[in-house]
Amino acid sequence: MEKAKETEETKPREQKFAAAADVMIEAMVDAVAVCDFEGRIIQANKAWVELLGFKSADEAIGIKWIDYVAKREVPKSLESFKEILEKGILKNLESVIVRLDGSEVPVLLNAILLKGPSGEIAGSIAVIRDITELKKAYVDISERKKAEEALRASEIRNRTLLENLPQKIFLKDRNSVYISCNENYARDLKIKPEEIAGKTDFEFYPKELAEKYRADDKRIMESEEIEDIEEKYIQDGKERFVYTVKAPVRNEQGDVTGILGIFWNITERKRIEEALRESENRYRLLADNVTDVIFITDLNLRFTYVSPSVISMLGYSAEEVVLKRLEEFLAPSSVEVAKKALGEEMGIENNQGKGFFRSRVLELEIISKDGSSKWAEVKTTFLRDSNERPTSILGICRDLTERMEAEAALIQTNERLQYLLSSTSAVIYTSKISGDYGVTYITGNVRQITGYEPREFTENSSFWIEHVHPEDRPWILEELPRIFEQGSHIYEYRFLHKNGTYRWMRDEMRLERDREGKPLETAGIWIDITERKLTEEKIRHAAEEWRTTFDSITDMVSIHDRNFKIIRVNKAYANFLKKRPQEVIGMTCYELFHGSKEHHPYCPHIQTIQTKKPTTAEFFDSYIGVYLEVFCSPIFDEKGEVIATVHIARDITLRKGMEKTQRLTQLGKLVADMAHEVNNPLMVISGRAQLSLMEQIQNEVIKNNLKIIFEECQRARDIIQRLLSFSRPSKGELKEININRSIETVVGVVEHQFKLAGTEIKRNYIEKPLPIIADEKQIQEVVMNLLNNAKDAMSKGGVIEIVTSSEKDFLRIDFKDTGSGISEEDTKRMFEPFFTTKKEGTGLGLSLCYGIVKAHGGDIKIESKLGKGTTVTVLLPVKEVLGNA
Amino acid sequence: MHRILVADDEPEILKILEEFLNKMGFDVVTALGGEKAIEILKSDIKIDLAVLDMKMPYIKGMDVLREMKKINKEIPIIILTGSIEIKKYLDSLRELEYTENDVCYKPVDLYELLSMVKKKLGLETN
Repeated sequence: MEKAKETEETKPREQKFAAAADVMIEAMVDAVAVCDFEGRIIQANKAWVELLGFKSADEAIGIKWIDYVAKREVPKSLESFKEILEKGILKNLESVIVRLDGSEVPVLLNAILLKGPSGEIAGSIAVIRDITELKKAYVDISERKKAEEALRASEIRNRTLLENLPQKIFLKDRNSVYISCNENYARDLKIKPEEIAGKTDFEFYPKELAEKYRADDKRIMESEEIEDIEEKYIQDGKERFVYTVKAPVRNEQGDVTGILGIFWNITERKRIEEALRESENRYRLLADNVTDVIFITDLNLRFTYVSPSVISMLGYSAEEVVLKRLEEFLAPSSVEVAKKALGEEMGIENNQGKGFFRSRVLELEIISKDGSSKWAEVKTTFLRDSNERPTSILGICRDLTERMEAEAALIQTNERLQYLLSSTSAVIYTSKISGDYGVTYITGNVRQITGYEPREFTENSSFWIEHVHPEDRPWILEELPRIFEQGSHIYEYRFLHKNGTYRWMRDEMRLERDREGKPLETAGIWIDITERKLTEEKIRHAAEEWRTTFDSITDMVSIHDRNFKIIRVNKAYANFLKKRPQEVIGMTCYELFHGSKEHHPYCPHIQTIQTKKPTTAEFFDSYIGVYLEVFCSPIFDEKGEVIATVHIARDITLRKGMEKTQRLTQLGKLVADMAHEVNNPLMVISGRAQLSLMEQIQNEVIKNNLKIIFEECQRARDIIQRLLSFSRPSKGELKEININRSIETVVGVVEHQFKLAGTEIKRNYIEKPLPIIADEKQIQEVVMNLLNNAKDAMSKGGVIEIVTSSEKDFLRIDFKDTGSGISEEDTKRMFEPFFTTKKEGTGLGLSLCYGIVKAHGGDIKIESKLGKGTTVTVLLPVKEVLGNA
Repeated sequence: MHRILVADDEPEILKILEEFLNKMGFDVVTALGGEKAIEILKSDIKIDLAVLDMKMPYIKGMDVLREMKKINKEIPIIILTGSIEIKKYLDSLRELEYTENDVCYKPVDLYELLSMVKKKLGLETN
């Protein structure tokens, strides 16, 4: 191609012109031959070759033109040739030539003489036109003039002729008045053929059209030239297109006397042509406007058409591109690609069963006018001639730069993703779906996680399963096939790290299937979750620890919602209530502890919710019979509202008792210290009074006063003695005693005295009481005190019943009187020192008893009803219990 | 005539006991405090019976008793105390071969004391 261009550029102007003439000759419809001075053909165009029936132009060359002329026409032709030599031109010689196959073709011959630079005859150019068709129209019209005469001479003959033709034929005189027409035309005009004579077009057609026909007639008759006219025509009121050939009609003298017309309907052809043009326009419009570049090249890849959109793609205008070589705007590698593709496609053309409409997509790097390069996708297909041979290439070219950039970005993203993947702990792998589930691919970061190289996994298909913890291996192998049902599965198991430790791994695998749904392989993500597992373990451990701690706390711990409902309790709490923890959840603390349907007015829970601060409360709960200390703390939600409280309750009954004992002990010590100090002055008073009484005192009043002073001193001494004695239980006098006998000793002493006061003592002793270890004197002191109290409660006399019984590990002694009873309020204070309801009482009796009984590990209780009497119960531990203690 | 040693750290009590016992026909030697009592016991003064307050400053009653045992004086003793605290010392008293029966509580009925004295001295049995 390049070479061709060069020669074209270096050719002299004349040659260029000659070449252009060659092209023109070649393109002509008429058969053209160039002859040398001897009349020998040296060049023939395509039409000549076809007309004569040669296979190629070469066959036609070298033959004298006269050899083609039918023998009977040779003399006339030679005659004519003389004319050429004379005039230099031959016009419209009717002749007959003989084709290669022997058939004859009537032709019209025109020729011109070619002269050399110095005027010598160089040769001639002959142009012949096939007039077979024209001849047919006149039936036997080998002699044109004879026909004309006949036409004029006989209308009937003419009509016969005309009526036999499918075309519409008419004959007009010089004034465009119809002389005759054939049947076909008459039918169109809805008249009989004989009626046409004398009529004009104005009678059949609209004025405009009729005027046009008349003007055409006039022009042709004046110019004496035959014209082919494509024109409008009205048939059945419809507009049609017709192809009309109008020829001037001459008389014998050669004067134009009228006009002959022959025409036929070309509406259909016209419509097709119109549609074709429209669609062509449409495609051109499309091609001109699309951003894709549409082009056509010949088979040498030379552009014949390029859509204007090329300017936006390349910076070159369409006109510029057509003049350019492919190499000027395609990168060398892409030129190769394009040429190779064309070569291959041309190769395919030789194959059987090639597709006529196949196309091929090439990605080519194109160079813009500004030198920048971009990628384009070019879709190409052959355009074919009527023999379906490729004649040119149609291409659609699309700028790929954006797509390429997007792809580049995608690649970059992938690389980034790869980087991310390799820098995180997530390993990606694929593995087989059967047998040992061997790994087929695994990402490099597996090194960081397991210490092994990726190939260790892929080269040894049982590598993975062999490194799974032996305890996890069986269940994993058992569960793996489930992936076929579920499609995906997540496992957590231990995997042996190269360093010998087991790492916890999370394996998230998915089953990949082919298009038919057949399982292909598994793809998975593998993550080291050891840290998470350890944390979980710690959390679980912490929770366990917390639960254990919670349950180990001997205090009762409970968590309550705002409505007192129990959310959670520890073991101690449940044990205290003799229930299981789940049984109390949902219940309220006031139901369980107070046996009431409402909370206590001073409930610490209420206070904690109101104040949002921890609260403590200490109270005696008569429902369960214990002293409780409750510590209540708030639990806040994220907004700082109290949503629940934690109660820590403690049974402080024992402590309360101890506190009391302690209080009494302290009091006793105080009294003891004080007693000595008080007793000395009392001794002085008492002694002085006695000494005074030894004097001879006449005044009885004084004497009596001294006696009273002495007696009161003695009473003071007794009070102090008692005060001191209850706080000092003896340790030295403990021995095994029979409670019945000890009591009886005391009863024996007081019974007589009690009888005098109207008080009867009833005995109700247990048989064979268990022995107790006690200070008998102190126990007897308790008995004495309690009997005295009972007697004092019955100022008008009554019955005291002493009952001894066994109660669990204790020996029980009840002193029941039928006295006035004690109010509930007083009952609570009965054991307090100096508390007394009696006028003469010291308020120490029961305190003394309390101290003694508690010191013996026992208990003392009072139950009383005003007006009905009082029962004091003493519980003393039996020997075995003490012995074990 | 029997001589009785009365020891107490309260002068008023010493006076009362001296006055009463004199009236009742006893010779009385008083000692204000334990040291004084030991001093007298160590001297040649013949003592037939001692009435000792258990709670005295400086040398306490128990110390006096121990001292008496040391100087080997087999003298009958009446322990006078204003406190029930004496019970604390019962064990110690027992070591020294005394019992609760040798204890007399303040404020004492002088005649009760007298009967104890006579009993200890074997003067009368009542």
